[in-house]
Amino acid sequence: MVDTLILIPAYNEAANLPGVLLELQQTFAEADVLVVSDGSSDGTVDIARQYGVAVACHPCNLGYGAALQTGYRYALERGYRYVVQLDADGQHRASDALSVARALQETGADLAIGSRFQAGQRPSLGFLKRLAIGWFRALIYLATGRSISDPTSGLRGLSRRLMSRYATSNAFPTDFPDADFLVDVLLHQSVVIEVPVGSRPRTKGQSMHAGWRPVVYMGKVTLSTLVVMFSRAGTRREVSG
Amino acid sequence: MNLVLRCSVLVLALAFAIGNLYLLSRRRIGERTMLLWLVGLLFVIVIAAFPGILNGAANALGVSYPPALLYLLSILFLLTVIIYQSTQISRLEQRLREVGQSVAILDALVRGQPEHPLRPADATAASERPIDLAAAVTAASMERLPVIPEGGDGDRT
Repeated sequence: MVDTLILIPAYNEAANLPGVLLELQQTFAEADVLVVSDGSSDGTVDIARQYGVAVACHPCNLGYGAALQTGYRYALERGYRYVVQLDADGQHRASDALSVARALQETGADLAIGSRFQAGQRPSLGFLKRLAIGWFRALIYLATGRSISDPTSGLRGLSRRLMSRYATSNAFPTDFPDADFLVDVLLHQSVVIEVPVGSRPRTKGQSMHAGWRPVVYMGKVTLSTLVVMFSRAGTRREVSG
Repeated sequence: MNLVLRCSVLVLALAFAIGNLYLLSRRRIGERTMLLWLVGLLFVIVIAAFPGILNGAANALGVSYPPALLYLLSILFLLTVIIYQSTQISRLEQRLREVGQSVAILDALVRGQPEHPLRPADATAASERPIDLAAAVTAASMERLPVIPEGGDGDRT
């Protein structure tokens, strides 16, 4: 019985997608695959269909977070127990997706993060990306008292409970669900674990975090995290008052 | 304010009002947004017709240069309009997202989860599980059409 859905949000990833899907078919054949094309215009959809995986196709670009949410809603409709999301750029190994799925099944955790920084690893990342990761770590620690080593990892596994919480319209950040999402998950007393994974640099196409975009991204996620913290504090006061 | 200036301001305000009503009649602007602009216009017309009001208000508030009060009020009004428009854009974005996601999900459900080319034979596909959605019902009914044997109703004759 297939209980895991591999969710791949993709925006113009026709060059990288075949490698990702082929590797998944060879290494993680016991899971179904859904590619969510977020308004791609480069044949991403056709390629995904050629590889015999399910495709949900946004009519226009709605954002990375919206693509993930589409995947959660699809997974809920189809009755999957776990969703493992990974990036379409080929930076995640299929074997790591498998270990995230196993960790989720074995521990019963709500969220399993594939961390590039566990077990003393030092992946080669740009200065701005490293800065963003350090900042988000600090933010999460300040908000929840928990240390998350890789808050921006695109490889994550979610339980059905978590999927259903974030499937409703306004509950999930539509652009970059990173620190804000993790703070919200941790403040809801969900069980979060980190699984050591490797990573490879992207070889083709352009990243959604290219150039100066990390700066805008940091500002957005920080604001969004503060909103999560304040709205959560408001809810707690209402409950206790 | 002399009569010529007062008249020209009034004419401008009326022209603006007529322009707005034209847009409304052509359905290029909603009634609710229109209402907001009409309130602003009413304010301009009243001030143009009775400039004494502005002078009086400036005196009462301790503003030594009355037009400065007019600028302040205009800026506040425009900021209100812009914030209102921003909330409307966010609302539209949210609705667009919901529609886009629903279209994508329904399409994916109707097409169904394809069989994994390399899946072990004993694994059961999730596509065999029941799903409760109108589109899924459509998909299911298409998949489970009664198979009519060749020759049509031959077995009944």
